[in-house]
Amino acid sequence: MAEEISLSILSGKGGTGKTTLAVNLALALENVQLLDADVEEPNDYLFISPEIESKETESVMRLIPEVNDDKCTACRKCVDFCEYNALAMMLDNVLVFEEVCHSCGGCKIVCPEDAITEKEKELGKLRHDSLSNLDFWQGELNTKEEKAVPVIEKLKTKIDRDKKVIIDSPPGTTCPTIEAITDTDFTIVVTEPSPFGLHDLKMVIEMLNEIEQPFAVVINRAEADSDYLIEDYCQEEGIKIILKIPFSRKIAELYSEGIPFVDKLEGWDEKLQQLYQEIREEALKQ
Amino acid sequence: MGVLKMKLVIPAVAEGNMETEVHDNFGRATFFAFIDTETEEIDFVENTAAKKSSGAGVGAAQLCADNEADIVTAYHFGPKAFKALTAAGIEVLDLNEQKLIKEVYSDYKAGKLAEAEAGPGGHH
Repeated sequence: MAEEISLSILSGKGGTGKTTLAVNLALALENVQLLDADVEEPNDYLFISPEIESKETESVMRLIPEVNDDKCTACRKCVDFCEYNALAMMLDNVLVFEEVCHSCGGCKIVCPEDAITEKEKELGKLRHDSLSNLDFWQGELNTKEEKAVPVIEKLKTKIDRDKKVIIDSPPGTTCPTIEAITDTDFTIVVTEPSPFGLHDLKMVIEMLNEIEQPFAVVINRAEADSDYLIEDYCQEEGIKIILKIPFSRKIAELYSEGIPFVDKLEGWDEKLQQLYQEIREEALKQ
Repeated sequence: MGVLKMKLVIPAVAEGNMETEVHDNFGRATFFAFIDTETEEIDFVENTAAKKSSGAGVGAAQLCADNEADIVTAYHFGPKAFKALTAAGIEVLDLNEQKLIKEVYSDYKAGKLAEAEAGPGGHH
């Protein structure tokens, strides 16, 4: 069996076309696994498995400190220890700000009174659907929660290396994005030919170079009279543009109806299969 | 009859005096001006929480509480800072048009500052 690779799909700004590319690429290929790691607003399911909420769900838990006020002597050691200001001492009571807690457990260790215990809290969920040619997983951060990384870590435990793996990453350059792309063989950066697109593309590329991640660029909403914005930059930097998805009313209409364009437009199946093979060869050379 | 003794806190862009500009952010303010409403003395305390990667609002609230603030003013309070300040029994007031610390102080004395509500927090 041919060796398969894992791909992460990324963009600098939201609304650039990550979902479009991830979904259509996944549907064009055989023996594929799609993981939606854009856990703050996963939307691949709209095209792949609209009923995913009724499918198999797994909780992602994390530990949060709980302070026993009877034992607490207001010594402040826990508050001073917490690098993330998840604890505060107000009128001799410890307040816990669960959203910013990184679940490191340090406060419990430094407490000399044994007043801190940890409780489990649901941070997010994984959802799963198995289609004939496509194994689909989605990570989801619960409302009001801020820490996306543990959900993405858990999602990545579902990776099946016998399949072609596609990870739809959170946009931007923050910790969740880096968590999603780390350990993938290759990254596709989706951009659009606009000044905003170029600006955010540069930020992402700086980050990818920093972590020495191999990548290439896809232009979405490509148009003859504006592509030069991205092309000039990529040429100067020696970055490969591996695909253009045209700015087309038909593609936009299909997207708005939740229909992957690969199902309706001639020739895209082959084009995307070819894209995967090109990237695979490139990635296996690394 | 004397003025009620209170410690009024105003986020500031630098260590200075009554002419110093108000910082537009609570958690990320560079300094806090502490004004004693009885003597009108002004002290500046550096906001060490501003440099933290997260929870700056909570850290700044802690700093206000540790320095015995009675009233804290800002253009905007995130939900965590608001919760922390009110848990400490501190009164939280909203700013709007004021630019300089002395403008905040005179509006406070004139009773023109309205009670604050928690707004959306920062980005991560």
